[in-house]
Amino acid sequence: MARFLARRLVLMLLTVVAISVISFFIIILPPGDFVDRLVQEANQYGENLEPHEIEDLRRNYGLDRSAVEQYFVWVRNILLRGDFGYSFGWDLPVSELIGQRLGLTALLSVVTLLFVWIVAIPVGIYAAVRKYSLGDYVFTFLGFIGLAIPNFLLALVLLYISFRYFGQSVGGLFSPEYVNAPWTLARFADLLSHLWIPVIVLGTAGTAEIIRKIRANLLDELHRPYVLTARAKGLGETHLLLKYPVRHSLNPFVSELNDLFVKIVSGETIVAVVLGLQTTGPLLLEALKEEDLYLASTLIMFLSFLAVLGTLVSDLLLMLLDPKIRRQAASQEMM
Amino acid sequence: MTYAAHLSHSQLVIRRFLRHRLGIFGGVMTLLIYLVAAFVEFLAPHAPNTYQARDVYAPPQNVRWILDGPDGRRIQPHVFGLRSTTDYNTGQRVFEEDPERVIELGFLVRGDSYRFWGLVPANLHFVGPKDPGERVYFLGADRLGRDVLSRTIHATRVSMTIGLVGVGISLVLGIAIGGVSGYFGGIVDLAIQRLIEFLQSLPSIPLWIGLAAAIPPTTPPIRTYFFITAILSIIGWTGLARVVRGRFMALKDENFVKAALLDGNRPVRIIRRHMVPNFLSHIIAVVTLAIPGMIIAETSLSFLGIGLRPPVVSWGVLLQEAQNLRSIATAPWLFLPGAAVVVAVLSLNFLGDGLRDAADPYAN
Amino acid sequence: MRTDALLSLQGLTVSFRDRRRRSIALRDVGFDLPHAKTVAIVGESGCGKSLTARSILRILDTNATIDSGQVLFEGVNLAGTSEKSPVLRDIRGGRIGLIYQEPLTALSSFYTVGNQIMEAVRRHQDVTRKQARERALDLLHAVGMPNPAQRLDAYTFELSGGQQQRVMIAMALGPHPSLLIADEPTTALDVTTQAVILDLLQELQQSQGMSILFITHDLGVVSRMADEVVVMYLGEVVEHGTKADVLTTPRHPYTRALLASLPGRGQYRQATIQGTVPTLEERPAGCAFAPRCAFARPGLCDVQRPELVRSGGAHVRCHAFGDAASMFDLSLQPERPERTKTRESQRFGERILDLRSVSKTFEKREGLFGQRVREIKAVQDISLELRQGETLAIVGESGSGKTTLGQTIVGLHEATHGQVMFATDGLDRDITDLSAAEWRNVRQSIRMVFQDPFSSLNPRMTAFDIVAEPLRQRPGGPPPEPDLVTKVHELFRLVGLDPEMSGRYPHAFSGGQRQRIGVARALAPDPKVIIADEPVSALDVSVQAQVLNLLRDLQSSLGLSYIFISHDLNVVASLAHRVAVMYAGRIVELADTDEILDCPRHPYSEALLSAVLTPGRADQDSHLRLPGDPPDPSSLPRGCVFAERCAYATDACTHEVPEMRNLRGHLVACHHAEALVLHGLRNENLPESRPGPNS
Repeated sequence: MARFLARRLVLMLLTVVAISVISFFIIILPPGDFVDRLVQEANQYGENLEPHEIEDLRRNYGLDRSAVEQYFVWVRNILLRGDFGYSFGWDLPVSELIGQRLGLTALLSVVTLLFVWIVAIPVGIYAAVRKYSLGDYVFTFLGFIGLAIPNFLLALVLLYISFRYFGQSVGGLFSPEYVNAPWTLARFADLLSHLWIPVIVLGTAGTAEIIRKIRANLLDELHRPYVLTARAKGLGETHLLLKYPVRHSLNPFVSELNDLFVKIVSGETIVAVVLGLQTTGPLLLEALKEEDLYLASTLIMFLSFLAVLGTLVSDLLLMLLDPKIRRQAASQEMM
Repeated sequence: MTYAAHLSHSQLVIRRFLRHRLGIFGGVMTLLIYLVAAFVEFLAPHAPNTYQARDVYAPPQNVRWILDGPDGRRIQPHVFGLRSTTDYNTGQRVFEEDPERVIELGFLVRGDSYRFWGLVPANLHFVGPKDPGERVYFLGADRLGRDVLSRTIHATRVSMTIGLVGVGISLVLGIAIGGVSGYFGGIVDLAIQRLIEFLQSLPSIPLWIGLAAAIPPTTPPIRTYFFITAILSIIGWTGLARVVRGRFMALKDENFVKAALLDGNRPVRIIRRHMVPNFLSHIIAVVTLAIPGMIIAETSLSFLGIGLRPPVVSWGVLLQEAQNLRSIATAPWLFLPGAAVVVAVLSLNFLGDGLRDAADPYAN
Repeated sequence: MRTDALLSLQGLTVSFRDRRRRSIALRDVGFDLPHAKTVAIVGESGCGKSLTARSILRILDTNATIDSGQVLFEGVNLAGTSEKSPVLRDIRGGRIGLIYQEPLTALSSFYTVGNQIMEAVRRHQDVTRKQARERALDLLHAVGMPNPAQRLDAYTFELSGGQQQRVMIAMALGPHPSLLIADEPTTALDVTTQAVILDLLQELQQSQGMSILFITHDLGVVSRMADEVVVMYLGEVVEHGTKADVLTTPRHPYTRALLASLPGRGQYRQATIQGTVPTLEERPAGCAFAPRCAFARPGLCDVQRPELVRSGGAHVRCHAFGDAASMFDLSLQPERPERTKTRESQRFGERILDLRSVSKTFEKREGLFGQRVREIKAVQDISLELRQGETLAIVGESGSGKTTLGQTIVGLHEATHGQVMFATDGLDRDITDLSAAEWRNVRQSIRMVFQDPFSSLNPRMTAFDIVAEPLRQRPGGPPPEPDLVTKVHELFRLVGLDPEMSGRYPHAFSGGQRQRIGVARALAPDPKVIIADEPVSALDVSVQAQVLNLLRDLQSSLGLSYIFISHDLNVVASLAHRVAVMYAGRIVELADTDEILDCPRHPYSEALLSAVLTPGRADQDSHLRLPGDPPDPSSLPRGCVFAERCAYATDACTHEVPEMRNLRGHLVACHHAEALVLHGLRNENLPESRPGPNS
């Protein structure tokens, strides 16, 4: 088991290295950098920077070195000093900018994941067991709609509805008075009262998808021989249903949990922009538009890392829940 | 079983598909949407970028059918012109209909001129005001006084084809890479599988916007269009590659493929004649189900302002107009392109579901 | 209803319905099951055997409903209770246990074996967890599970097929039921395992005084297990009587035909039943069997449905035993074809194939980056010859490597070691290292017929195109179109298919017809050798006989050589001239068919033969049961592959791989072959003419 874990961790480490490379080079390789952006801005104000001034700026920002060199400097600073670089745009260390936002993104993603599961599992089971009932049709219909509406559009519609009919803006994760306040119980309560809108927006597509899949899987499982065996044993229908086919049909979703989590983290970026959440999304978008190298790279890296962390968790869960994988892990130990 | 004795496999697939009502509905809708995309210039009452400053945020106009003219009543579709006043309490402009100004509507009228498919100069429109100088807003106007309906129709072409082209590129990559993976097996296969797993474990939207943000704003529209599809395909191919490889692997072990080898077939012919026809219907279904994802992705990127940019019109670009609460509160009809997205995605999903169920005509 | 009946079915009628129509699946089924006795239900697939079992327990799928009839069990009419009634639920599992085919899918892979057995016990008995666990342990002991204490915490995927079926049995017996329904419980198992499981069921029945309702398609198993036999056809009981009545003096033409179509020993053409079982939608008017019956009287049998009438000690649903009996002369036996040739007088031609030490090892990559390689030795050191006009059977149980060997000969796998010499046109050359172009030539001469007639035909091609494919792909280029059409139609006629049907797609053919298409495809390029891999194992008995006859006829008319791969010794006995017995990738014995059947020289051959069941041979030697399971091909034992399970093994066996030696006509790989006196099938026990064997 320990060896299984160790292998997973090694794999994750390799993945993180690959992620850091991708995150950095996605930003640095395309033409144009932060200094170009500054020059452009200066031009707009009618100032013209001399070539040597531009050189100096580049040197100050460290943008004069080769991409590979910059990457290694960045990584070295992260490893040695936990320094993720400097945000050109904000004039602040990256770590100061992203700390809380990253936490909120993680929180929002995890809460959304839980929401999806809590809603999708019972509804999926219901729709399968009561196949072709009114409820099944309603959920199927809602499911299709849920899948078809892009996240940001759903967010917009909710914004519009709450503004139009409740006369208030529901954007953000905090009420104005708490945005920059230190963490208190009251601030946390305020966060929770704002959280549900982004959770619904982020979770709808996933919920719809999982309901559809659970329904299809469970419908397959309901006619498997082991269900017949359980019924022939004289077990009651509900007990039997939950212990056997539901258990079997949910297993694949443990591994899909990761896909879902990746999608949520990914979708969060856009939803946060629309709803004006104080998470990583708007920051990332801004950073990308401004060619804010270290801020953008670090954000992409951490978001990817969050997703990879999800993979690890789902792998571990799968090992706990699936006897076949558990036994495989145990037998690797022996070899 | 004997009831379908003389039907071929494809006929069975079609038969089964025809029994899938939602699938048919989706198919018809999809067909209609692509027809719209093909004839946008003709179908839209106005050109996408012509505007009328006086009609900023003009609301949808009611179409009336009976006209009381000087020469008596007659059936003549028309709308009333709009008159705007500014409400001094709220500072908002209020539109009201002006019964005096009748704008007669007609089918196949002359209007804004365009080049059909970029080639044939024309000015015929399916429906519009009879007087080419007049404008009509069936579904309201936007911030600059452009017709929302016309713009939404025009956007169909870009949005619907970007999904198609994106999936096309993904499919080529997916078939090539998935095929290589399935054909060579062994280490190559393992390496490709790991690469796919890695790419799929990354959050796609941050990557997409990372890449899309690198497209300079000055890039010509055609090239932006190409870049965006390429960016979407970078991750899109992985799913298709998996399906292709999975099917390939499964079919490779089928006895009839082994039999084809023993019959003296060369590898290329085995793949072409014996394998491809057997997974084609599955691939078509998977491809159909992949298009909506592409459409949503394009829409999202353009909405954020880092995908396609004006003057290109796509549903995402149009929805940028609806980005802030103030504009959608004043002009909720700006959501129309959003509705178009939903309808298109739903139709493709229905169609794809139907195709997937029909792909295996022997299953129950 | 008899007074001693534990279970009594009366007029049970069950139908399926879908949106369009209703079709009757069980029609008026009635029989009694006495206390502590075994009643076997027998029939071909689609005859409603399993449906009967499910109707008794009321665990039908939602599209099936009981229309009328009674299922009386211990004073309760199960057919009259609600499916959710607590009485019914207590009887399910509590009073009636169920075991069935494919134990792997019948058990859940998410819970331990112990959990699933304990659940059954606790559902019906008021015991604590601890007591239930002890009871589960006792049960595993009782069903002969090795290491029961350990197995209690095992999952199904860690057990062999035989062990899984033992778990099913333990689970069914947990609450002491008075009736056990066994639905094809050994069909998915190898013969040697089947023998052990059947012993176990009989033992348990005697010790617990249970009744068993035994459902099977295998008449050999029936004669081994049953006291009474119910023969079903298309959802109807056509004959019912004691075992002796039904198997020795069968009355109904269907029962007669079924028995007659069993493979007999020694190169007979077998009797067959024409056609196949119709689908439920196509149920004939009148007698269900009439369209296939050799005795049917037009105007009566195809119009009026016969009643179940008494005849001697049995009941039979046939007009020939009712009021119209005078119209029939059942003494007319379907003519018994001549023995085509005797084996002794048979002269075979030149050697055509010669395998020299052929081995095939698969490499399986494991680990994240495929860094670990596991070797699976599927086939090891195989040497054999095939002569022109000869049938060489390769028998062995699942996993013995027989299929891999066949596929290696035709070049679907590349041999890891050894040579396959193929003699043709005066040349004798090794075909294992040919170029792709040369292979295409050889493939015209060595052809293959596959096991599964469903997956071996491309669903996208017409039967015509499938058969024409090898001609079109001929190395010399395709023949001109008119010649091609003539040739393909000729092939269709050769295998007994109407060329009119050649435009249809595979899905429009029945299993037997598909297998004929497979044979036609193999014959198309005028081959010399055909490798037939279990060509009849997926087919019903009556259809099986048709295909076996076809293979025999083709051999004598075309002079073909067959390598016939099979697990079924009855089929092998009827078709093969010589037999090679494989175990764990090696040939352990090779000799003439009669030699092996009557006086085997290898302990494994002996064990295999002792497990063979035919209606004429129900008394198996139970001391010859094989313990345990075959070894894992990725970690084979060092010495003799069979040593672990061999009753005669000594120290030497576990250390040294036995050489293949020639011992009075037997090639045998056993250290003790000279010293052992082994038992085979005694000739007198084999039915020379059927029906009417004496057991």
